[in-house]
Amino acid sequence: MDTILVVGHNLRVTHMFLYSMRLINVKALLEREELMEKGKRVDRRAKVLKFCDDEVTKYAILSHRWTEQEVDCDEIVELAKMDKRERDEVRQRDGYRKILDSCKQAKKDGYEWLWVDTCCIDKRSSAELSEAINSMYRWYENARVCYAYLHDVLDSSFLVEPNNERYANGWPEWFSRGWTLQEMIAPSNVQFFNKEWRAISDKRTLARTLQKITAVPEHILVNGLYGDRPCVAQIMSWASDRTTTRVEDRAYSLMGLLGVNMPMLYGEGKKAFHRLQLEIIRTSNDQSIFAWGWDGEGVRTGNILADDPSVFRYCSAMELIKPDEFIKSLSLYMPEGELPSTEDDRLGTFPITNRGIQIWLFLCPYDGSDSVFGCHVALIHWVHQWPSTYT
Amino acid sequence: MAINLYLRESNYYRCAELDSFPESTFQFRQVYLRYQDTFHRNAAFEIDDSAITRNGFTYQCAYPAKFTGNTFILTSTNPLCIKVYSNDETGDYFAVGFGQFFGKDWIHVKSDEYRIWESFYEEFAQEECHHMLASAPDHVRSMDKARSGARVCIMHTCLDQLALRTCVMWKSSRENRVKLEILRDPSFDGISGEWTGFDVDVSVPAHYFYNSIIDIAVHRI
Repeated sequence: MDTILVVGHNLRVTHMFLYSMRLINVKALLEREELMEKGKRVDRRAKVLKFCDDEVTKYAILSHRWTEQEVDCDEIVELAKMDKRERDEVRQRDGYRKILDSCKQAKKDGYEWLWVDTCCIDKRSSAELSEAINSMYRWYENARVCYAYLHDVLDSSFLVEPNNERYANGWPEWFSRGWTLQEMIAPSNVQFFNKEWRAISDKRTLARTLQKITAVPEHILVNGLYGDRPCVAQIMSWASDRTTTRVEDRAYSLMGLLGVNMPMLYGEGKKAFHRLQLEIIRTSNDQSIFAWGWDGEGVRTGNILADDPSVFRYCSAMELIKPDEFIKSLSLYMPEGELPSTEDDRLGTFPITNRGIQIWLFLCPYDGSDSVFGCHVALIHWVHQWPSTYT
Repeated sequence: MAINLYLRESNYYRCAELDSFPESTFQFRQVYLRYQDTFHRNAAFEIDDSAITRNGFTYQCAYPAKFTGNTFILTSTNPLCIKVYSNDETGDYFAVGFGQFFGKDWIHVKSDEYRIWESFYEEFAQEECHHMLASAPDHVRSMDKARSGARVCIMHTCLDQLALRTCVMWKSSRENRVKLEILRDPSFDGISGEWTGFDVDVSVPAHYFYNSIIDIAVHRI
């Protein structure tokens, strides 16, 4: 295992892992399985997991829907040391078969290393779990290939139209899960497989159909999130109809796509999504983050942050517009002399203070009210509504 | 495309969207958008409209449509319910708004004196929903003023030929029991359209209140 030694000034010596990504040694795991299958003696010292550098290692990665029969890190490592009854119980699980089949596919494609989230993170360590979740977008991005395993697809061709009889949301379950959004976008090469591990197609070929299913624009699916990134509200909208088992994961699964990091605090509930928005505000001046519920749906009275990605549902067509266009649009509502210039720092700065988010806005009171205001503000005028199937 | 903000104690909060948008002059202003959580309990309403339906009024519709029954709960995401009643004989019709705004319950009545929405009751309900949402802080203030120390509040509203008496009694701080009654021969001069609070003998059983609020021994505050 790669380690470095850190010597503190109190002369205490600490071991630190140089790399945080634990990968499956494809060859070692398949050989061990072959020996177990044949009832032969297994080398208990053979290591099936190893910490590697995700920046230089060529590895495949699995994207899938978790089931109740997964195999965790401890079980995959200790399998060789288990008695036969316990070992067979693990080996017959769907989750184990899934890892094996992924390894076989990786071997077939010439990859020595594979990452699977069920067994490559030691979830007993909250520090490791937090680090893994904060690194996960990058891990999917750096993977040479991502195997998207659609456990509920029996055909060897991809659906082009929704099938409401077969699937609750019309499409395979993989498309309704929160984490699979970044797993679809981050890797440049995503290969789809059906239940029997027959290759169906790949992300680039299917880009148009995937846009229809997920609302993620075709150009993002083909080229990734490089260049002109979509605005925050649009990215949030892609997650609006997706679900996660833990409510906190609704937020954590979006960190990579939105380019922020934060510690995991399972148990915080919907506050995770508030923290995510505050992290975004700290690192960006994209005011579309306030545009949730602009159509009136799901708006509640209270703080300025959204409670859930679902209220961004109708923001999928939003785009940022240039400051000069914004100022020009305001000339209908304000005397020219009172309009700020495009260079005015007040337009694009909104720091978080202990009192609230300090921001300059364009306000107009409703008739007869001194406390309810329409907000024709940068946050709305910075974004532009393009025609879309969602509006 | 716009969002609405509510000014409260010098901070701004997000509030429900309205169909129309103010078209007057805008001001470029520095504000503080509150991001800290605000916790508000839900408000339960129980409506007794039997007295007005006995007097020739018909329940027409509710907006949003999900609030069809006479018992409902308002939350921060569903802060307002409008119910419309009409009387074919007299031509009277009115909307009653039941609202919850930042944890404060309120009720407001609006009749359409110019009969713009006659027979278009759903549109009337929708229109009033937006007006009342925009005026929610004023309705809260009006009711709060009368409610202070009171267990019952009564408001009289002029209709075309009749008057509506709205009476609310609090079973608990979050449970509003509302009774609607019609006054056949009102003295319109004395109708202010404002809430008046009354202190009620706590020993009076709740059903007594429903039978006749007039008979209750009340002490004007």
